[in-house]
Amino acid sequence: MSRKPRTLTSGFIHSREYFAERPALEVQGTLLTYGKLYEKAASLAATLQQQAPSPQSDLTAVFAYRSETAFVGVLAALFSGHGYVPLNTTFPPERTRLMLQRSGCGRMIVDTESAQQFNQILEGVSEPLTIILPERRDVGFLAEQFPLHRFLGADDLEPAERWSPVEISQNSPAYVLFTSGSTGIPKGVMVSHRNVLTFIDAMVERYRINEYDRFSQMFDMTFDLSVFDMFVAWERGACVCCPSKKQAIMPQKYIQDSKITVWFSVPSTGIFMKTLGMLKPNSYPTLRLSLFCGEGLPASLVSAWCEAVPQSLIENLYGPTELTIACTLYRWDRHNSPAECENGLVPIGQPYPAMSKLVVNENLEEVEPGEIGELLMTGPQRSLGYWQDPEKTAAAFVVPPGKKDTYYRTGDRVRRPVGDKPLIYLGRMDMQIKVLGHRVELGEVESVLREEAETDVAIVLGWPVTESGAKGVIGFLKKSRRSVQEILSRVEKRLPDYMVPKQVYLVESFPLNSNGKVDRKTLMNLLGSQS
Amino acid sequence: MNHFSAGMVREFLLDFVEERLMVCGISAAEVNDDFDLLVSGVIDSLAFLEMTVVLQEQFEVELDFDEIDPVQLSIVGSLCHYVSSLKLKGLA
Repeated sequence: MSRKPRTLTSGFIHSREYFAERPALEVQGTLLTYGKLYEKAASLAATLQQQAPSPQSDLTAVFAYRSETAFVGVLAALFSGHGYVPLNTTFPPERTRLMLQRSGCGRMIVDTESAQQFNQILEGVSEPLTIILPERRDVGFLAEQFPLHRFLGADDLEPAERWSPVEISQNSPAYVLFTSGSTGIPKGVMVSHRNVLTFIDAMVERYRINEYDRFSQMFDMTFDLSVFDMFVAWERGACVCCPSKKQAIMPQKYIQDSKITVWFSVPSTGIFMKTLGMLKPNSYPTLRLSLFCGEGLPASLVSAWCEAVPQSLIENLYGPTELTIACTLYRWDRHNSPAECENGLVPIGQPYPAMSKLVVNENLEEVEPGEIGELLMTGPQRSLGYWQDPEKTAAAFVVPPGKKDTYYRTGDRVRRPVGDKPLIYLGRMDMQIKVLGHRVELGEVESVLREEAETDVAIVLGWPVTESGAKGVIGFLKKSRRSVQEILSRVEKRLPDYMVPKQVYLVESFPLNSNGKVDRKTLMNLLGSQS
Repeated sequence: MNHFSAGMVREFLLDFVEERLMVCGISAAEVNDDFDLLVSGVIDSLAFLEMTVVLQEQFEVELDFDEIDPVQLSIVGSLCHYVSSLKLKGLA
């Protein structure tokens, strides 16, 4: 007898058999058991299968935000044999429409709040869509307003029993996530079931996830780290605790009230918690695991986090969407780790068990141990490439000379470790610039500026830009207890002249991109508009 | 007596969210005391956390997150009133 291939939802279905009465999801003040969440997802999947066949695309869009429909929609899309494309109400509607159009989805699952953007999203969509609003009974008026599209509401939902599981290849996309492209047009990264299952297996094993775990859910679904929150939890019968917008602004109360055991966020959230006095000693007795990913992790944050949560393991995860959520990790050890940090940042550690790395020079040849180069990675988590964009895929997914495997070029600079030392993240490839002919690591200037200003974030850009690099560097800092003059005179003692910022701007806050990272492009544009 | 009024906090807040308001097509005049910065989608939770950090620094106060009602915190009127009612850091 042949076994059906495992897919992203196999773990959820397995957990539903064992833990039908245990909580799978807390969202909007409602608790859904595995049994209940399954029933809702199967009902919606049956509706997709029976009433919204979509031969032209293998993808279903989920336009919902921190609602029951968001989670049910993701599961239903997958149950129906499709990959899901998350859309986000907090993005500009024009970007959402572009993502919807580029993905070629023929059907879309929408919650009540997101439906308020229909006017802006559907205008200009020329292909007919089947749009399901499982929370709404009254969808007739929408059909009148948007006659090109077909609308289904709560009364049109099929019973869960009508869902028939579909056999799909592990190589088909489980989700397509759009990341910002350098040209301004979002790129869709196709991640297969095989990619994401490799990641999930590594995670549940390493962290010994069990049915008593309660996961934070700080990431919007358009950020691939949300896949960890949902599917690592559901693989082993744990509960996903999705905070409302109001809960998310008070993370300390959310962790305590929701009795979170597994915390996962960008370091920025931790930095804000530290600044706002939310990391008092022994504040979070339920936390057993604290994970950070998405940007450089300052050692100063980890020290403060250790005080607040002394019983928790702390790990720094690293990985671009193209390598499926995270592909290297580093476990903090309070005795040895401080000495392994560089530029005040925690190392990114070792590749995941199934992944291999290569640190290369500009000719894609491996550099010597201890030398710096671009990080390339390969293995079963390497994604399928960019959705309908063979050109960009070919540029980023390459076979280096002398190798047989295709590697993904991360665009990140690392030091090739000596022996079993951890990988050290040194910034983006474009963080190394030439200033008047000198090679300058912007990350190094940022680290010195950060230390001398005694602040957690400093941004340094090459400016004014020249053909060969930049004439100098300029810094951005938040208000410091030291004056700019004092900071600069301290920096001057530590860095050669060409690395000392010609000017330091004090900003009230840093512009963040949709993933919560400091948006360097906006700062660059600011400089451009002032010159 | 404090050194700043709820009006000053409000002015500072509006300045902070000015660009986001523009993106959302909301004029400053529409931001009344009942306006909710989060629910309206003007800022997300991470930006809100950042805004509270900036408020603390600007007005040299410390928000007490154990006593704040999260439902009220993102509503402009109650946030401004709360911040202006806080004592200057370092003063008993």
